Amino acid sequence: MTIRFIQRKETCDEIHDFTLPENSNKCCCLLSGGLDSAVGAMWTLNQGFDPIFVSHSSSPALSDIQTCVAKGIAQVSGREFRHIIFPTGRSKKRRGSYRLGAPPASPLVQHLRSFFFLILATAIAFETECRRVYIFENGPLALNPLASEAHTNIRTVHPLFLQEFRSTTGAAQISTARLKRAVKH
Amino acid sequence: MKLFLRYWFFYLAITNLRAKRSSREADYGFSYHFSGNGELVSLESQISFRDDISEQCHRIANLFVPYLLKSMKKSSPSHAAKKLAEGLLNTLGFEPPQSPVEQEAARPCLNVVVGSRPRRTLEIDYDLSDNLIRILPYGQNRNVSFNLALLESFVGHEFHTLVKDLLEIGFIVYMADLYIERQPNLARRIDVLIPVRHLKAWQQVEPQLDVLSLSWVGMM
Repeated sequence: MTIRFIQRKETCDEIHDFTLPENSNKCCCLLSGGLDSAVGAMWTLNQGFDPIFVSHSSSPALSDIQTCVAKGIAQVSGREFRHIIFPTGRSKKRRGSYRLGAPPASPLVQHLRSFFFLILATAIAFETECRRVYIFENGPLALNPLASEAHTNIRTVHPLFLQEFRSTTGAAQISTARLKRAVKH
Repeated sequence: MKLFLRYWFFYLAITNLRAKRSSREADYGFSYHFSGNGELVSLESQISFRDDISEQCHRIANLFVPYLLKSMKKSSPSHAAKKLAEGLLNTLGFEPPQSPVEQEAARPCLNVVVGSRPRRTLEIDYDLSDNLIRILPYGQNRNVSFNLALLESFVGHEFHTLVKDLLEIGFIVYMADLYIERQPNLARRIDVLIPVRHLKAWQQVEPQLDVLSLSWVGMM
């Protein structure tokens, strides 16, 4: 994969030293709607964090699941928290020169969705002054051992990737949102 | 080496099996565990099936290793690639993707472009794919849903332009992952052109994004 950048003609904000407050219990937590992230969300609440839950939705059905899971967490924990669902996908507009059809069927799908999910949480963390981003994932899946089915699943929680992500965003000067990987078995 | 190849072929086979589905709406993440009529396949049957596949992969690995060893003895990369291609063709029956040597000889390719920059302008610097995907996140002709204002209203202020760049890069990469088709051997190339506000900052991390991160995460 290669990414090439060109200049976009738009006014830019100045890049300065983004220092976030040290002693804050705020954190940003990915909430996919699955079991791992729901357990992780409960963990952040039990630890006394003040979490912002971030969900990415690729379909209305998934948004409904994420809303239900968040409601369930609020009910069980008795705590209030902020939760945002960010829906994306192809536009449903019927007009336009470059309309996108349905994506092609593929045996390996949406691996880079987890990359976008991580970026989404990082952006929210940065803009809400959270120093921590939590990504909860089943332990074996997080390490993607070769020759297991986990190998075909998401890879953005792998320690090597997270190290690289921090280095990349650091080089691009978005370095202050501290990433944490929480492995739950 | 044989063991590694056996596992690698096994992984390819399992991935393909998991992808089998009758309709676009099917939950292909789990379809491997269910029979055609939607009933759960027993764990014993799944294990036995996996053992069969593993055994077949072992045989294929044994057939492929001689080609691999011969390719390692070749002095030039193109001869080595030719030998590997011969091995893949004889053991698995498919042609490998174009070799990196051939790709590098050509001009930079693009198969995903963000924005409506005219084709003739792009063709000055790039070789454009016949199946070029255009992604337009903003404006009247936008073809994707990407509502940055929703996030900004959630946090209560406008995002820093560097963070907007980051979000757009992540989103475009995700859309490219959805729309660029893989070859039968699961390989593919994604070459994206993205306009950014902070060009200098992003050009610094181009190599990291390309090689170390996304190719690995996206299973290119």
